[in-house]
This record gives sequence, structure tokens and C-alpha cells, in this order.
Amino acid sequence: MSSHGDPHHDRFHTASPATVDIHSSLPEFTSPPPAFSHLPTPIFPPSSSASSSGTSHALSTASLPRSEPGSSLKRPGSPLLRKTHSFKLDEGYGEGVEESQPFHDSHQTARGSAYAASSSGIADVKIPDWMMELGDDVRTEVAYKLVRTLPTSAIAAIVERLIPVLHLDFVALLPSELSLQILSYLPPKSLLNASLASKTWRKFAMEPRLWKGLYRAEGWSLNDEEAFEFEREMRGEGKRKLQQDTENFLKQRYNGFNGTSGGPSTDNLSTAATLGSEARSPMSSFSAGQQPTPPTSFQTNTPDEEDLYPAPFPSQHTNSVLVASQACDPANITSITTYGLTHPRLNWAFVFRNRKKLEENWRTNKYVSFQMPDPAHAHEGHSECIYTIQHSAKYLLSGSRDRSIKIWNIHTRRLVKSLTGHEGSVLCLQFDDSPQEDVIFSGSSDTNVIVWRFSTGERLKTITKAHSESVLNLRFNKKYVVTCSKDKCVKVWSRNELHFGEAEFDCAVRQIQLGNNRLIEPSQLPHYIQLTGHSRPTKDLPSLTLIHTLVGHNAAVNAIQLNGEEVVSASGDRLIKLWNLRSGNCEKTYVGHKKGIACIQYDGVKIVSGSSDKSIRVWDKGSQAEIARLEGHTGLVRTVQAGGPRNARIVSGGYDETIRIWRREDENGELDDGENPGIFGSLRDGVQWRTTGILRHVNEVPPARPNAHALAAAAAAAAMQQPPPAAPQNVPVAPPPVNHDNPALNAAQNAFANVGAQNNVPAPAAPLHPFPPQFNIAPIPPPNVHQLLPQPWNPQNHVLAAPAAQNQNKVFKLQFDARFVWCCSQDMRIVGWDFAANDPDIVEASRFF
Amino acid sequence: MSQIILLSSDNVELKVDKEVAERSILIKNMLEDVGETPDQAIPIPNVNEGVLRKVIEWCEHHRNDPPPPADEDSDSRKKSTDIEEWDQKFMQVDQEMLFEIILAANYLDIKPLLDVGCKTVANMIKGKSPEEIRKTFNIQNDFTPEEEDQIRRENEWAEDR
Repeated sequence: MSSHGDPHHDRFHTASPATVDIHSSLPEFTSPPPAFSHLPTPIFPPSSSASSSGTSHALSTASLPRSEPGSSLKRPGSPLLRKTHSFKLDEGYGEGVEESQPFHDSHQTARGSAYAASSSGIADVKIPDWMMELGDDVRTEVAYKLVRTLPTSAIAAIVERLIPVLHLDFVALLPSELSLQILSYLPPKSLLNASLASKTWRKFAMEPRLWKGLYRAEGWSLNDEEAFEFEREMRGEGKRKLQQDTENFLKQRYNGFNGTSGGPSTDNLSTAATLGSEARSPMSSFSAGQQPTPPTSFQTNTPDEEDLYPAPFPSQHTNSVLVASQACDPANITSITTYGLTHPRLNWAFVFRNRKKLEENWRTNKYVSFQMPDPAHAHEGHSECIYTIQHSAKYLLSGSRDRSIKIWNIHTRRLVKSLTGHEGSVLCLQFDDSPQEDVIFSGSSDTNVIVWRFSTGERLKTITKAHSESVLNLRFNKKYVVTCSKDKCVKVWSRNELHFGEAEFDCAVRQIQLGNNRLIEPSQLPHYIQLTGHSRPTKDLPSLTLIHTLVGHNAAVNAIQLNGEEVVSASGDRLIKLWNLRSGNCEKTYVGHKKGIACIQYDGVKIVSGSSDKSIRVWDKGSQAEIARLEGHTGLVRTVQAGGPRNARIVSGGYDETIRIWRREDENGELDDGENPGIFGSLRDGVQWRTTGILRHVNEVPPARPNAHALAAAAAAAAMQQPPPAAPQNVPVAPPPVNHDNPALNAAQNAFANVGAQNNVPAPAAPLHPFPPQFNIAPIPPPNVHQLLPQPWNPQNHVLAAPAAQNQNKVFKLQFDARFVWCCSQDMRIVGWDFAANDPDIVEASRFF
Repeated sequence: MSQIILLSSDNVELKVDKEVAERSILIKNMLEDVGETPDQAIPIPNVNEGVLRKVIEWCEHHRNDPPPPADEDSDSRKKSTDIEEWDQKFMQVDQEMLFEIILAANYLDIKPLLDVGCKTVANMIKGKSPEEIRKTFNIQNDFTPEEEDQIRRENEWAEDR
């Protein structure tokens, strides 16, 4: 087989030996015979039984039109192609008329080289011209019968020779965009196999666009902004930005909190915690603890042309494509960058591979855990249990029974700021650190809601006595703030000023009339409503004016979720209600939980709820049908988040002191893509939510954590197989096997390591009344004499901790994204689990997740 | 039903319903530019008679297909290589013809046919080992054994699940 690059050439080169010159064996037929009747004699010996039929066939088809010049297709036997030129035997012939297709131009040279290569002289054999004038049908028959006279080994050899005619290298021969389209239909495994076919195939199979498509097809979250920024950096455009980032980062690290949180963050809980959208990785700009290193080695001085994609190339020069004159394998899956025409590009195969590894880590419970505060700075921590957390790309906020809100830098794991102002436990909060919003809302058992400026920590506004009892949950979006309370009410407040004529204005006026608005007395109404004879009201209503009081629940409203102009509320009365914020009406009620409901999530389509009946249920918003029930927790389910690839992941935590990771699987144990749900979106047969892992806050002993500078190096050095740090008390960190038959026993066994007891945090008097109206998920424990005296956390003590009472480490709140689970509990520390598990490649790739 | 004449690269005139020919966006645009049904044959210089007949056969069968849905979300899902039964049969041709159909569909801008052609090739790759792929497409393995070994090792991550 030819070794040179032009596959077209190959085809005809290798085919050309088939141009056996019949002259040499049949010298008497150097000119066409006068009549076809002479045909059989020389070609088929008289002994051939096929001769007579061959003759008649030849005669009967001799009058067929002659082959037309210029055709490229030669398929004898196809009526479609009957008029086209003849078949294999005539390679190099055709009376020199084949000109239309470029790859037929190579005939002559191919034949020439075949001749040259022939040493035996057999290759000089020629088919007489008269035979070439026969129709395809005849020549097919002749060729076949001729072949059949040969020994099988010779036939096999002919078949071998014909392979290049019958088998085409599509990927190398087609225009590159078509080659890429073909490969775009392949699943990852097939694409990898294709990448091993040849170097040319490899260049195509490793094309970043293909892998980006596969990445998206997996349903994985993708940070387009980061990817775009990375490509800019590669083109040498992002340098200044990178330097700014570096400066900002260092400033924040060494000068404490920096008000200008560099760059817009798309992360806020309203999206992060929404059922439908997977939260982005907090590692947006920098990998954990790593300083951003501009990839200077890749920066080029090439003009910033738009050459992300290799240009299509003429099919004759397949091997010269895509290659940026790189000596090494240009398509190495182990590097974050790959070849490009003028500069390296983001290697999506690398990103895909590491996302895949990360997902495997989720499935197989491979992670490392860590905590905030950093054990070396334990004094930065809360002095009592933490009821709520939320994180963005850079920051994590925690609200504690010690009445403070703490802002943590997620990368350094250091305290940035502590906000005080509430006079009771901080039970709920939501923040948005984007420059446009720059706000924190917090709710407390003191019944107040406080609005803070995130960047400065300044207290902007307080809604005093927002409710008559503890504010248990709050959510906001651009338009509304919604709060819920132990007082059984949900209240809706306006984010913005209200003007006369707006629908909300009238609603707000109504609330004033009813005496629900604590700031504006009914007597002040004349300022706001149009009186007879007056042209218009004199005043606008200020922001945070009460718009609705949603009444309907018969017990504490423990949790709410805001989605556009809809709110779902979950109550101790076992019911979930869906409210329309335009009308203030309850539109739907979801019935099914056997006990009070503690947590809820809503994405506009599905509702996920966790209850004191120990179950998690998934509801179809429209039909109100319960479409899934997740059972496994042995106590109240206090916090739940759904999301992940294809929305097939739920992470839940509760009073059984465990965090469960659930995975929606099909009958084969594969991730269910949710594409073919049953009636009302219920799970089709065989699909189930399975617990794939159990995390325990209490097990997470502080790892000996190097300082931030060394962290990157440590991560790089760490073997990826390294198990997560084991708990010294020999409680396995790895969760028990799936479907552990007695998680309760397990929880009890682990309870002795409880840190809360060690640090004199009293066990909150939190009787879990199984049923309303007493049910309340955020009980306020009795006052604690130590509560304002932060106690450094001591690992020694921790190890030696005596078994404590049960239910000392109830999980209050968790949040997960592509890579991390964060959780707070009765413990004073926030614990995080990193499923990158110290794999430096996953860490590197995770900025794009 | 107005008909038009297509002239293949090998100078064969093929009469075809305008509606059928307009499955080709190239021809459709061409006819729109002309404004009226031309009397003269439209030259299709890149496609020979055999391939053109085959392409027309496909267009005839799919003349009433609804326009393809806008592929907004097409890459957020796994790409399917499913091919409807008639098209599968239609694509049961030798590799050279398949090759020519793909080129012609690309040239004539008949996206659904191009997709079917590319899917057909993809199905020839799918599920095959590298060796089988080489055999199917007559590809010379130009990796050194060391290179091949290393790539195989790098690809191992995809083995499980």
C-alpha cells in the first residue's frame, strides 16, 4: 500500500495492478476482434462451462450505450449508473476521458507508478480496447467469470487489492467540516476509538468543538464566561484582566475584605439553589488556594484574529490541516490547552474528561473535606451553631445562633467580616455579591429582617417586627422579598418603590388599610390613595413596603422558594402551597406529607420538599401529583437541594445527622436523563432515586491543612487515589454502603464525636413535635452563658470527646454545586466536601464547570 | 406541476418537479433569483448523473417533509444517529456512492440528506475498535506502537461506564 499522503492517489495506485494486460497472455488480440462472436474463445477456454452464457450475454448487451466520459461513479450492475464508465479493470483506461473529478486525475500517475513498481512485468498486461467498449453488464460478467476461474487464494488476493476501491477514508477525504459533522454523532467512547485510527483521525477526533458538544450533551453545567475568558487569555487578550484579577486577589488575601469584588458574579442563591439550574462552581477564577498564574508560556504575539476554528481545507492536503507546527502530540487529552492555528485553544476533551472524573467521584464518594474556620484560625468561627449558609463563587455567608452573620472567603477559608445587628439567632439569609445587587437580606428569631450592603457590611434598612414571630426563611429576586414565619404567614415586600398606578401599589394600599403595614398607619392612607377631587396621590410608597400577607397555612411556615412571580411555601401543617404574587392568591395545594414540612425547592416545574415524616418528595407543579418519594433519612429532613447534571442529583440533610446524596438512575443503574418520564412527569418504571453516598458532618476532622501558598503545590502532589483524610476516631469517613440497613445505629455510633458538646453548646431544646401546630424547625435554644465567648476549637479535645447525647449534630442547611457540598449544623464549624478529591486536573478544569 | 431540468456534470439532462428540486436550498435560491421557472437546464457542475439521480430519488421521497425544526437546543442533548427505515435502505450503497452523496448534499445544500449521510458514516464507526475502524475505512495506522500504547492508556478513563 502506498505510503504517501494522498488517499485518492492511494486508491488508484493500489487499484492499478488490476490493470492486468491481457495482451501478454493473449497476444493475438492486440486489436478488437471483428465480431463479438470471437470473444469467448480467447478469454474463456473452450472447457469453460461459462463460455456460452457469457457469449449470449455479451451479445445481448453489446448494443448498450457506450460509457460516457467524465463520470466519476462506476457501479456496474446498478441501472442508475449503467451509462457511467466501466469498473475496476479499466482503471487507468477509459480512453483518457475521465477528467471531471479531481481524484481521477491521478489515474495516469498512479498507473505510471504501478508500472514502475512492477518488476515482474505482469503489471504491463493490458485489456484490449474492444473489451473496454463493452457495457458494464458484460464486463461485470466477464470479470466475475474470469475471477471464478482462479484459485481461491488468488481471489482473496484480488479482494485484498480491491479494498482501497471499496473502502474510503471518509474523515480524511471529506471537507473538514463534514468530517467533524460525522464525528459529532459519536459518543465519547467511539470518538476515542476513532482517535486511534490514524494521526489524521486523531486530529479530528480531539477537536475541542466536538468535545464541547459532548460535554453539553451530558447535561453538565458549563461556565461559558470562563471558557470565553480563557480563550481570550490564550489569544493574549486577557493579560490585563488577569493582572487585575491577580491584584484583586492578593489585595483581598492580604488586606482583608476588599469591597470591590472583582467582576460580575453570576452566582447568587436564587439561581444557585434553584432546582433547574445547577449552581456554578465557586472556583470561578482561581482554583482553591492557588494564585492565578497567567499562562504566559502560551501567550502569543499573533494578531487577535478570529481563528478559534481551523479553516476548512482542501481534501487533497488532509495532513497539513489543523497542525500548528507542534512537534508534540497536538491533541493530548491530558493538557488543558490544545493546538490551534495561531495559538492554543481550550482543550474541551480535557475538560470533558475531568468533569467525567468528577462525576465519578460523586458516584463513588471520592472527596476531601475541610472546614471553616480554618483550624489554624479557629477563633474566627461562630461561637454557636449555624442555622444557615449560602455561597457564591467567592464568598460563603453563615448565619448563627450567636446572632452574627459571617462572610468567608471561600478560597482562603478566612473570615472576611462579621456582621452584627440582629438581636436573636440569624435563621435565614440570602445575598447577591454582584456589583448590581451588592446586598444581603437576613431574617432572625428577633422577628426583624435586616438589609445589608454586602461590600461594606453597612446596615441599610431594617424591617422591624416583619412578623409577629421568628422569621424562618426569606427569599428575594429583583422585584420581591418574601419572608415566612412561625406566625403562619408569608409576607411579600416590594424591592422597589411603588408608584401610583402599579398593580402592587394597590395591593400595598390594601395592606395598609388592613393595618398589616407596620410602617404606615391606616390614618396615613390619604397620602397614598386617590381622594375625590384630588388629581393623584401625593406620595410613592417606599421600597420594602408590604404588598401581600399570604394567609392560609395552619402552622409555622418553615420554608419558601421564590420563582419569578410564584412562591411555594412549606408548612408544619403538612401542606405545600403555591402562591401567585400578582394576585396574592393561593393557586395550588400539595397534599401528601405525613408530618410537617421543613424545606422546599421549586424550579417552575417541579417542587422538592423535605419533611419531618423523614421523606423527600418531588411534586409536579401543574398536576400536583407526587412523582417521586425518597426515603432513607431516619429523622426530619431539614435541608434539600436538587440539581446537578440532568437534574438527577438531590442532596439532603437532616436531623439524623447525615447528608444524603441521591442519584436518579434508570433500570441499568445509569444516570436517568429524565427525557422519558411517565404520566404527570412521574418516574417511569425502573427509574429510582438511589442514595449513592452519605456524608457526616461529625466525621470531618480538620485535615492538616497547609497554608494557602502551599495548597496548590500540595494539591498537585497529592495522589488522586489518596483517600480522604481518615477520622482519627476510626469512624470511617467513607460513607457506609448504599442502602445501609441501619443508618440510625450508625448515627448513634458517630454521635460521640460531637463537637458541639465539647464546646459547651447546649443541646437545643428542640423537641420534634411530629405534628402541627407545635412543629417548628428552628427552635430557639435556651440562653447560653458562653454564647458570646468564642472558644477556639481544639482538635485534641475533639478526638477525646466523650459520647454525647444524641441529636447533637443536626444538619441545618446545605448547598452544593458542581464540585462542593457545603453544610452547617449544630456544630460551630462549616464543613465542605470537595469532590475534586485533590486531583489537580479536576481542580484545573473545574473553573469551566 | 412545473418541472425544471437539471444538467449533470456529465451533461445528462434530468427533468424533475420544481418542488422536488427545491429540497436543495442551492437550487431553491437559484430559482428564486431567476424569478420564473427557467426553460433552460440548470447546470449542476459538481454532481454526475448517477449521483444526481440518487439525490433526486431521495428528494422525491422526502418532498413533503415538514421543514426541519430549528435546532436551538440540539447540542444540549445527546446526538442521535437514528435513521428512518427508508433512508437506511436508501443509504445501502457502496462507500464511493455514499461519499458522493454526502458531497452532493453538501454542495446542493440539502441539510437533511447531508445529516443522514453523515449519520450513516458515524454508524459505521460507532462501536468499533480502532482496528475495525481502520479496516472499515482502509486507514493506514501511522502511530508507533509506543504512541498507540500511550493514547490507549490516556483513554482508559472512558472505559468504565
